[in-house]
Amino acid sequence: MALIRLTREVRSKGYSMARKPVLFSSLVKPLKSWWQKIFFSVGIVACILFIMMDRGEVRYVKEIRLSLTDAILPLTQTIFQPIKSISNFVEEFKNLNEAREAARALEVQVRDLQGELIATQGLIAQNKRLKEQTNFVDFPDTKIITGRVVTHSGGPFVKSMLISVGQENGARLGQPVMSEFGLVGIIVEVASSFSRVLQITDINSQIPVVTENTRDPAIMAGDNSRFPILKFMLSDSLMAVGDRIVTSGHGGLLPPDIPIGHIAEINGSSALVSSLVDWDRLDYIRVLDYRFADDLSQYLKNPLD
Amino acid sequence: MREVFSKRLFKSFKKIVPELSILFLAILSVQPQSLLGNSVISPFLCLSAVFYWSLHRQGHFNVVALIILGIISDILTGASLGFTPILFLTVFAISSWQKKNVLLKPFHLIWGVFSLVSGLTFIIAWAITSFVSLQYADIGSFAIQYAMTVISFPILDWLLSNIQRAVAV
Repeated sequence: MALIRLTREVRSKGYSMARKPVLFSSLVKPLKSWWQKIFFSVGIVACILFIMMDRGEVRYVKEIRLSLTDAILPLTQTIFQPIKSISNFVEEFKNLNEAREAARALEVQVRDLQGELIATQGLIAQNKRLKEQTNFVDFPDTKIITGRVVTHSGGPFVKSMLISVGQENGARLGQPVMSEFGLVGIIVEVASSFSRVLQITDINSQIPVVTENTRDPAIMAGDNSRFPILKFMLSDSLMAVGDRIVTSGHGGLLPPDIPIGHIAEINGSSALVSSLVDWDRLDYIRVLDYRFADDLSQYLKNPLD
Repeated sequence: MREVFSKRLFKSFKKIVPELSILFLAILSVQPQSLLGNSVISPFLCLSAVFYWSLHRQGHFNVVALIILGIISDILTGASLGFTPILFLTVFAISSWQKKNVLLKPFHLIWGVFSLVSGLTFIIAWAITSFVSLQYADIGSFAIQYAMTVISFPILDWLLSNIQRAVAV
């Protein structure tokens, strides 16, 4: 009897003997209005559905995404234009002192390069003659379209960027994008005035590569970290730390011999690649208008044809 | 008449200060060579802002606005549509749930709660990223961004509390 009375007393004072479990309803409870509760529940379900549809490349979701990006992008550029101008001015002012020394160093470099240019011109002519003699079938010439990086995602969730080269400028699905030093990524979305580039470091990126000297093939896959991983290496691979990695051109999506990076570390059957791209200062990019990529984008539009 | 109009305008502006601050941070975080630098990993500032406003301005701060802001963030970063809204809603729901226990506590306790809430959110983010791409995402970069987000929280809290005081939201 005493126990029952004590339990009642405890309950009437609002104490609980056991810890309440955390339920979805208790999370929703503090949301004041009923429509907030409904929107919260519907919102979570809708978001999960959206993720699945986006991942499943549902056409309508892609179209919504492209049109929303087209609408939002000019707004973001307008908002940040004054801040960018000020920061650029400050940076240029800072660099003014170093300009004189840099100019002297460049003069020396130009003299050296002029000497090398004469030798290179001879080699190019010799190469051309040899190709003619052996009826060599070369890869198609690649046109270059230069643009700027508009947005650059800095989180670990996704590694992509929007660039100012769109369909109007000749951008197509699957075209490779380069910095001045190496491969940045591949175009995965094209709108009229911009494109989205999937970086080589993204978890969804997989590129066929070879080592420049030994021509050992592998697949370079991103994992959202700074260092993409080389997978499916040959068991008798001759790869070594410091070897240069270039695109193999297998599959026809990318032109061969685009520089990507160096091998930073080898762990048994896989290796880490250090990219040549300076991600921190990536501003100007070059889109390679490769003919094979163009053919592929047409195929992707009409896969049943 | 003009004074009345300007007062009304300011009143409306005050109402959307939390949403505007999150939008600003979302755009700021994807700017190349922005104030934060074009670093590979930067703090998830929007998450801190959502936590702050969920605690301090829950009345006007609504779920629909969070979903829209999350989708804008997804569009800018290139994440799957719906990914960031899930993270925002998680933070919003937990901070609303624990608001009474947290709000008037000393700052170091609020900071501790934020580190727990954001920790859970980052685990969810990692799980979704890995699930969507059908492989384990690099946990190191998530851990680094989590640490940077937690470390940067006091600065953002100070900044947002000043904005809140200035416009008396």
